[in-house]
Amino acid sequence: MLIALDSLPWPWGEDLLAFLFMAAAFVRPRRLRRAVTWASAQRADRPWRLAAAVCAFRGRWVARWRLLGLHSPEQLRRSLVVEGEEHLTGVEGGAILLEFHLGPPGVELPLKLLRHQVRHVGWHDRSAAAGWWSDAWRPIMVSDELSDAARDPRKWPAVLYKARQTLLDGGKICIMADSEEGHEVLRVPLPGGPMVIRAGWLTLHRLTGAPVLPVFTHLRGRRQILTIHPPLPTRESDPARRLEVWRDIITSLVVDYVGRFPEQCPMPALVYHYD
Amino acid sequence: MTDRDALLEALRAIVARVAGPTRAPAGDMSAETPLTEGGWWLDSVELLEVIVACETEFGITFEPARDLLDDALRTLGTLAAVIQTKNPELSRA
Repeated sequence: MLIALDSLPWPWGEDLLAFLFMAAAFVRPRRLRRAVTWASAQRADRPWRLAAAVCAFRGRWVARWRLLGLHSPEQLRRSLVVEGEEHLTGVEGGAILLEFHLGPPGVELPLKLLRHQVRHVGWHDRSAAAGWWSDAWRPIMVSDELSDAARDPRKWPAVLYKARQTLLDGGKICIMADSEEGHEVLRVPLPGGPMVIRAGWLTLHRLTGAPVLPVFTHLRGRRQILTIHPPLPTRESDPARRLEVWRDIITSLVVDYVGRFPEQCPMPALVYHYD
Repeated sequence: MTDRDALLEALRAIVARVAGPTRAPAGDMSAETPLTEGGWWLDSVELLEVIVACETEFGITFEPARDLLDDALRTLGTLAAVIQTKNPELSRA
């Protein structure tokens, strides 16, 4: 089906997949019930409408992940807008771009398309899907050694070690705050269930001193907006106190995002495992 | 005490520091004590901290593709074996 949708002019395939994911929720009662419960917790005026929208966005997420209908990098590049780019360009040396499972997938690819040298740390299945990408995309979509952790926990220490080396060498990495790997360092309270922030990025910061820049992305119509925030402040030298300050900032940013774009939060709504 | 025993003891101290006081394995600790499940219960991020601490402690540099995959991080003993290959001074038994 994805092949058929991919053959359509962008964004028809993406729109169709969004509709299909929304329609599929109505034949999968558990998913729909979960989405409605989450939407109700957001105090939405119409929880059913928000639940349908978030299910549809999950389809849009998959379409963006597979770049449905986007047959050249230039097509996607034209739809990208970066806010706060100066925060990234103002950093000399290594930097940690702190992502969240919110909005469309990943900031690494958009930043690469805008000619920023960034590397994704963790896992994505680009190698597994190598045959999917067109010749125009393949050089950009190739997995590198920082993104081959797969679902094998034994690979993670080596990947994190290489990420540390990259930072010490002045490179810039993108890493998920709410990853599945590592122990919990803080919890962002959200309506519907908390976002658990884990230790990988924080440990990399502690081991390298690299600044941490939170990055969010959302769709505004057909455009994908990336918002790069200023580096988290490092005035506090005490690690515990610094983490408290950062917790407040991260909480504020995430709560603001979920409040403004609840329909673009399929991970908290449909995927996170809450205790 | 052999050099290997001394290495294992130094390594155990590093792991204990990273794991914290509440996660020492129950029972006797040995070279066969797992670093992760069923032993020290270190996660991947804590293993990174152990690796970096080992580099500082033993004056070595790991090559991740060769030294940190497969069973290298399975137990105190397997990690000690990797460290011994990196620093010949620690290889004398």
